Formats: sequence, C-alpha cells, structure tokens
Amino acid sequence: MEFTKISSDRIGDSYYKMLHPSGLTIYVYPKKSYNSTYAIFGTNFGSIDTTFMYKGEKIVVPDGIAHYLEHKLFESEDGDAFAKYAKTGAMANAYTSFDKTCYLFSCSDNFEESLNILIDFVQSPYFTEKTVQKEQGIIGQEIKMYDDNANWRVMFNVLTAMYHNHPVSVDIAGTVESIADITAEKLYKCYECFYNLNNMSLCIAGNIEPQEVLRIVDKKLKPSPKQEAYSIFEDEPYEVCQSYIEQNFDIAMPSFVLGFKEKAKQRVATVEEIAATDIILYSLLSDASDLYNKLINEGLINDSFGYEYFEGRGYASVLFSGESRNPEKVTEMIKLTIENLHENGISDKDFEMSKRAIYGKSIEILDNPDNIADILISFDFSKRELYDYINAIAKITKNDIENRLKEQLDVNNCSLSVVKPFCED
Amino acid sequence: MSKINRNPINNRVTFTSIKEDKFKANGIYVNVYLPLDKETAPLNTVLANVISSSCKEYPNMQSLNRKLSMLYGANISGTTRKIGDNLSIILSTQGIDDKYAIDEGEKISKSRAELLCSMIFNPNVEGSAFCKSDVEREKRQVLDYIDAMYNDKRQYSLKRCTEIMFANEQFGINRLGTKEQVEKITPEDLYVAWQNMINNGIFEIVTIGSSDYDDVKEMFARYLPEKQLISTKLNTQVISTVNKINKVNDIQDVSQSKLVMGFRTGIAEPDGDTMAMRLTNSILGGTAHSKLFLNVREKLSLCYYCSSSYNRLKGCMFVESGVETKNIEPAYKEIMNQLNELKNGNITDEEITAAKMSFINATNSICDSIGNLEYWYTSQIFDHEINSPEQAIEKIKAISKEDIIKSANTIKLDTIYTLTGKEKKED
Repeated sequence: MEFTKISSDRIGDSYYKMLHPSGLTIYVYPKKSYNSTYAIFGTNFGSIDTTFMYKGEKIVVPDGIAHYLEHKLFESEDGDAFAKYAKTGAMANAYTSFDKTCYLFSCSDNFEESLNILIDFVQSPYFTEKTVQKEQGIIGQEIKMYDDNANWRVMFNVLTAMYHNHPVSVDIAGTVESIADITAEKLYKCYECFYNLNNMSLCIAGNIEPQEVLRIVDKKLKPSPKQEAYSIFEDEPYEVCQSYIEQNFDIAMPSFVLGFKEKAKQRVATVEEIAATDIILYSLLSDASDLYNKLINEGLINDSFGYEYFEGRGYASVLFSGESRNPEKVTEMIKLTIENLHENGISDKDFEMSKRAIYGKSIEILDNPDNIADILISFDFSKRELYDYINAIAKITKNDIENRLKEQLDVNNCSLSVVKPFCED
Repeated sequence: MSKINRNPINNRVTFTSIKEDKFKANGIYVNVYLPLDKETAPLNTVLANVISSSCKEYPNMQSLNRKLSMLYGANISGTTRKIGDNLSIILSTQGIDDKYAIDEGEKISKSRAELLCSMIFNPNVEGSAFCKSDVEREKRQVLDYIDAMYNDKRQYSLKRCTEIMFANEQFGINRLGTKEQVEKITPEDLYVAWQNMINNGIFEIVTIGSSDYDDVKEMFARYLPEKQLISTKLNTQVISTVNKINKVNDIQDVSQSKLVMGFRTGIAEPDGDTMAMRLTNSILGGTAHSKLFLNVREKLSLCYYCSSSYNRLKGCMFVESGVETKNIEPAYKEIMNQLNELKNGNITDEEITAAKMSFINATNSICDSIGNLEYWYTSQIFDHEINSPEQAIEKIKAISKEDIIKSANTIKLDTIYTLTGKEKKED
C-alpha cells in the first residue's frame, strides 16, 4: 500500500495519490512552509442522484435529500461535529452540489484531532425521526433565502428551460414540500448506497506529508463492500425545452443566464476537452475579447458578467451570465459572434493570448490549499488529474480547439433565462 | 515565516514589502486613504474604476486587458473600501511569478508593476479631464451596482441598518453614493478627484511575493514626493451612548424576512480594547459553535443563519438573521437573551477556549494567502499599533473571562431593522 508521487517540473510541486485498501481514494498535496492544512472528504453523490438502482431494486428518493443528509450527518450519537471541532480550533463546513457532497475543515494546529473528527462523523450516520424533524425549520429557511435570491433563481430557471428530464434542473436543497417527505429511513438508505468509501475521496492540501495522513486514517477507515448503487437518468433529448424563461422579483437590476446545451457524453469531459473549452470561452468572452468590450462599451453588460462550463454526469452546457437591461440584445450579439467563430475559428493572436491567460490562472490557483483540495476532489470524481490539465493547456494546439468547437456552442440549441423587476402599474 | 519590511518613504507614503517565497503569484497593492465624505465618495469610487481600466500607454480597456492576458492572465483592479470614517482607494495587480512563464526569461512581474504605476500616475487624461467614454461606462457600472445591492436582500438589509443607525455620522455614508450623485459626475470632476488623490492621499504600498520590488519602491518615491497635506484628517468618531432605539421596518415582495440589529460598544481603535471585543463577538455569534448559532438556529430552528460581526474601527456590532415574519419576535428575544447571558458572565471556559482557538486558527491561516496578508496589514493602519499575526495571537491568548464580561457590558442596542414580506400587511 503506497502512494504514487505525481510531480510537475513546470510547477515545481508534487502531490501523492493512493487507493486505500478500504476503498477510499486519497490525495495529499504538501505545501511546504504553509501554516494551514485543508482537508475535504466527499462522496460522488449530489442533488441529481434521486433515482438509483441498488441490489436489483429501483429506488426513488425526495428532491433535496443529499443536501438534507449533509446537514444531518453533522450530528452523531455522541454529539455535534461542530462542537467537536470547537475543541481543535478548526474551521469546518460542508456543501452539496449537483454531483457531490463534501465535508471539509481547515486548521493550523491539531490536524490529527480534526482529521479524526472528520473521518469519524462522516462514517457515523445517526438519524432519528426527532433529529430529522428538527432540521425542517432550518433547511426550510435556507430554501426561502434562496427563493428570494434572484441570481440563484435565474440559474435554475435556465436549467429548467434546457433540461427535459435530467434532475440538474431541480434545486439542490429541494423544496419545502419535497423535504417534508424525508425520513430517517430514507436518509439511511442513501447513506448505505453512496457513502461507500469506494465512491468517496479524501483530499488534503497544505502543511502535511502523505505518510502522516496515512498513519491517521489507517486506524479509522472502515473497509467498504463493493460499490453497488448507481444512479439512473432518463434519456435526455439533445434539444432544449424552451428558448426563453422569465420570472419577476422585487429587484432593481435585471439579470440573465444564457445556456448553450450540448450533447452529454457517456463519460464526463477529459482534461484536453476542458482545456480547449477554457480557451474557446476566454477568446470569445473574457474581458480581453472583442465581444465583451463591445457589450460593455455599449452599456449592455457590466463587470458582473461571467461564464462557465457547466458539466457533470449526464449534462453539459456553456453558461453566460450577468446583469443586463437588455438580455435579448446581448443574446443576439453572442449568437452572432459564435456563428462567426464556427465559420472562421479563433485567430492566432487570440489563441496565444487565451492560452497564456488560462495557463497563468491555473498556476495561480495552486497558491491556495482550499482551491487545490477542491479541484483534486472534483477532478477525482471525474477521473481527471490536476497536472494533466495544466500540461494540456501548455500543449494545446489550434487544431484541438477547432475539433472541440464542433461539439460546442450550438446557436440553435440555447435557452435564455431572465429575472426582471415587477412591472410598475 | 515571511520577512516583513515596513518603512516610511516620506510623511505620507509607506512601503511594506512582504518577502515570501512560497507563493507562485505575487502582488502590489496601493492603498490610498482619504476622509470619507458624502460628496467625494462616489467620485472616488468611479475614479478607482476608471483608473484601473486604462492608462496612457493602453488607452482603452480592451488593449489593457489584452496586455494583462499576455502577462499570463495577470489581474489589475480598482475599488474603494470604507475603513472607519475613511475611504481607501485600492489599486492593485496580481499575477504569477517570472519563474512560471512558459517562455523563459520573461519579466512578468516588472511589466505588471510598470503597468500599475502608469495607470495611477499616467492615466488616460486629456487636458484636465478623463476620457469621456471611460467615465460614462464606469458611471453606469456603479449605477448598476447600486441597483444590484437592492437585489441581494441580506446585503441590502445590512446596508439599510447602517444608514439608519449612522444617519448623522460619516460612517453612514455609502461609498457608492446615490444614483443622482453618480449621474452628475463629469470627466472634469474625476480629474479633480484624481489630483486630490495624488496630492492629499496617504499612501500605503504593499508588495507580497518572491519578486524583488526595490525598483517599485523607487518608482513610487519619485511620483509621490513629501507634501504638506492640507485636508487629510483621518479619524473616526466613536459614539458609545444610545438615547433612543431606532426601529425601522421596510416591506418588499420577499418570502423570507430579515432582521438586522445594530449595537454600539464604544470600544474602538486606537484607544479601546478591541481584542477583547473581537473575542466577545466570536463567542456571541462569530462561529458555528457560538451562542447565536447554537441557540437561535440549532436549538430553536428559527433560521438558517444568525451571526454577529464587529467593526473595530467604528466600535459597532451587527447581528443578522433571516427568519419567518412570525419568528422575528422570538428570534429578537433569543438574541437579546444570549447577549444578556454574556453580560451576566454565563460563559463557559470551553466557549472561551473554543473562541480563542478559532481566532488563532484563522489568524495563522492569514499567512497562507496573498490577499489576506495584504488586508491584514492595510486594515491596521488606524490601529494603535500594527501587529503581526503572531503578535495578535499572543494578545488574544491573554484575554480573560473578566475582560470578555467587561466588553459584553458595553454592547448597547441602537437600531432594529426588519425587512418583511408583503403578507404582513394583511395580518
């Protein structure tokens, strides 16, 4: 049982990877002379995993259950994890996204104690009807907070407009109604199916060495049986459901998300594909691009504008978002520029500029242990390696870009979501 | 540990270099401190935006951003920040160190430093006015930002509570100003604001990273000679008494209500024992094991968030929560109840130790981030002394339960702000 050392001459760092006999994948990225260490322990189970097969049985659970489980896992039979962390000084948190649930802490002292707490509580589910009931009020308020958040809603609305069947369009926390159906029994079922170490990963970055991590976790990890549960998703048509969706809020500044849906493959994207997409999007709409400058100089967008490649199990799209008083015009100009891009490709100058910018930013991220561990875990669940991604940027060619472009940014397959103030009357 | 060198260049310019080899990036941060003034705050905010979007050499935003992209995605930014009753204009640049360039021998760091200097001292001005289209674009961005503040109900509620509580003090001034003020700004106004910044600002320049920035120091020294400062008095008014509690309720079409409570403590820099108050705040509502989190959220299930924050320059504290309208009263009562527990000394040793450990943990981590290190030092320039993270940790360790009780007893409720949904009218 040994760590594999993965090094990069380019960056001058190394990290270590191991498949532990318990089934858990462990990554350790030492950052010498740092004071703090950041650890993240997560499962490849998120809000989209509401229908799955387990031992020949099809199981459907309420929307929002992964997030609810995240809240409840903090409570063990012998007390609350936050109370335990209070004794080590670590700052702890957790989050649930579309495709994963992660528990994390950062600390400068008492690393061993904090890591023990993390490994213990994530492996010790304890749910009773009473404790489950207590969380309804807290999560209910979390949901209501997001219901009032127009920037959050505009995102889910675009997903609703793009996806017919895929659960990515359902709010991560579910609804007040859906969480009312969550019971201790259902939480235990999800736990049994997905909190299997073969389906999980532990990533640690900072002032730590791999052998030290191994010494601590060896005593704690309970070997898991074979991972048997797997999510099933209904077939998702290529086409978006609707091209436009709008909602009104008590807000003063309208905002939008414009999503270009693409064909989700049987696998998630490779590092080469991600690198190519990063460069395409940078040359298309970074603040150095022609289009961005045109839009901002004409008063159509402001510096809240951004974009992301939104991709996971069974879904893939490019999202452009920001505040605008004329999202229709922005959409029209973006589509026109994309058509031109498909026709003429990226200029040599834009290619070189984008490549350098993306490369520099990917190096800069490595200054922060939080970022490193977050990337390691999401890359692990997508079977990607961090340095492979950075090398892919350095080596990418214009030909790679042209090939990638063929499967992205279809102007005939996009949805615009807009949130607007109520009409005054 | 990083090597920190702080030395004054002259009566208004101080240069701090934090030499740290562990980072792959490095940065230069120019903080200019000016009094917070109702008329000039929006001007300075628009100015920070305009300055960071072009310069003589790269006279439009795109040419500048293309240059930055070629410098491996370097970043240049301009913004303002309220610091006590003062305003700081922050102009900064950050990016990867030379040794990570794909093409060997590129001088990325030096180019960034020169760009930043050129933006601050050789901006894109003609005669005595900034470029009109730059000014109009950045005015509009600030106007959009003012509207966007209204979109975010949590942020908006805190802003409203601050405005109400400090209606008659400098601290109540918003750094963005009002929409009417922003609309009136002319390219000539900005030129005057720029001149004022260069001539009357107090400069704190911080460099962080492994690059050698002696040349940057010289550049700034050349541009910023010693000056008799006419109008730069930088202090903060601290009021510790409350005559009458303000109560304001706004109604909007929202599904969750917000409760923001503003308190005065009178404990502020440079004279007060702010370390004890920081710990007191942490025990009250600064962590996930604080009194507010454990009681208002975990015990009573009234909310998702209930937290407190302390401003050591103004000596004020805010408690924020998002609740059902019908739960505003129970939440308010429990917050006051927990505050009284603190005042009466109902604090366990575990709570104190936990708050100290959490402070130590957060403070140690400061040294692992370029941005946090910069803020750690520049946010202390109005404090009675500048502490390193290590020194601050020693001070927090020495605080006793009595110090905390004493601090807690200075906390007085001043303003209760609520934002409620429309259904309240029908009740």
